[in-house]
Amino acid sequence: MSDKNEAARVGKLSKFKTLNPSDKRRYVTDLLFNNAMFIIIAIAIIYIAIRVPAFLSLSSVVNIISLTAARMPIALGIAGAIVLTGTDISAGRCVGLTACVAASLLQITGYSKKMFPDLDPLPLWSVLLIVMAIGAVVGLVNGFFVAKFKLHPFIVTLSTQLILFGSVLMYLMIGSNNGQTLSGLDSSYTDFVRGTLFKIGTVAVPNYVLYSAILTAIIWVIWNKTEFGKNMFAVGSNEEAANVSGVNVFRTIILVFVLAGIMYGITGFIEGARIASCSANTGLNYESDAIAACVIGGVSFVGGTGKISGIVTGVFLLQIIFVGLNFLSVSANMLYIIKGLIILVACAIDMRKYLARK
Amino acid sequence: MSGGLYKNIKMSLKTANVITLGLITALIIAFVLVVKSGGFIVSFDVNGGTDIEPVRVMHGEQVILKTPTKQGRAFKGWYIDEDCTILWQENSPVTESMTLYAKWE
Repeated sequence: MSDKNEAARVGKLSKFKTLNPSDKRRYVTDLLFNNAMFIIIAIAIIYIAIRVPAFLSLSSVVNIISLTAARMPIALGIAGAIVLTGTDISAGRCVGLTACVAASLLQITGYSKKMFPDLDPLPLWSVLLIVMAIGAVVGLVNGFFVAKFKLHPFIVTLSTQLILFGSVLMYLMIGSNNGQTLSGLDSSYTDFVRGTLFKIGTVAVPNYVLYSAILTAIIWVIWNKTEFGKNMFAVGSNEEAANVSGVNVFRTIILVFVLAGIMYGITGFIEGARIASCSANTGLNYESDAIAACVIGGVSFVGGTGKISGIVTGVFLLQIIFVGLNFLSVSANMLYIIKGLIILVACAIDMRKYLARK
Repeated sequence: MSGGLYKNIKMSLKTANVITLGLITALIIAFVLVVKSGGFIVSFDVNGGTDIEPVRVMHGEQVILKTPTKQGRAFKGWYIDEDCTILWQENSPVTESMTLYAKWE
């Protein structure tokens, strides 16, 4: 351990010791509350690992990592909206629509229940661009109404959520599909997304883990190394002050939502192949996982703050919990109760942190 | 910082502590309850045949498959999807609540 670290630790410790008792108690209380979520999750993981040792097996860990990768892009998109002290509840339905569109354009030739019987599977990059464009348009609509009319993002994205749901239902009726689930995907699509990246022993890590990692890195650069990222944090922190210091608030808000929309489009592209069968229910409530992950990971509803590492941690911990509960034979329907409470607890901790600082 | 979502909250830290603690307790209780009532429900959609009761199966266990009967039709197996295109392999471990659909010839 270097001398500098040692000195810093000793400094913190001696500073703690010099605090009077009530300050000490306050310090410890703050520490416990701020990390309550992590403590609970850690205890849960230990309990599950003891009850069901298979939870820590290699295939289980790779499964958790894969699920984290699948849920990452949507969380990265929604995080931008949260930094702006808003939210985006149209995310799930946007993923659903883009997944259905991607799947419908990439069905195997000659499949009996193909939506567009005369259409050969399109080249992957063109479908990816199409769904990114759809996501961008959704984000544009969201961002425009928030920026121009100062409507609360909750209302705007609630409306777009409903419009998107209706759009998916209508989309699934066209061609020769008639509302059925879309499946029978071309192998170029499924191999690209679900093909083996590399194997650890006998367990295969899918390709989309790599794509997710690349996206995370890109968003990190956007958040931390660009003018746009700085502006985003400034507007989220204090819109008036940002406006006064020359930031184009209107354009920043729209761009944040457009970026989010693009991320949803990419999520839909990946998800279409990952679950291999898309219906109007695809993407339902995906945003709840994403928002919960962001809040756990420190993207505060106070606005203007958040770290990519926190989001990654949040998504990862949430997936560990869900997979762990699955190992304890808890069905997915019961998970909703846990999810809701996790969001409430994370928000309460966040709010308390803000009040403690005032 | 202008406070964002919490801009208009006038609450003492003590009250915030109580609320947070209350919610944390609720979460822990929810965890315990949800784990206690664990067990996946496998239901059987017999599509006109003799009824089969749903069974409760724990993670990783196999579900015991019974054969239903239907007047004048032959039973062709249990399928995962309603259109009966994906067969449920008899000795597969159960990893989620699900409905199995009976295929009739």
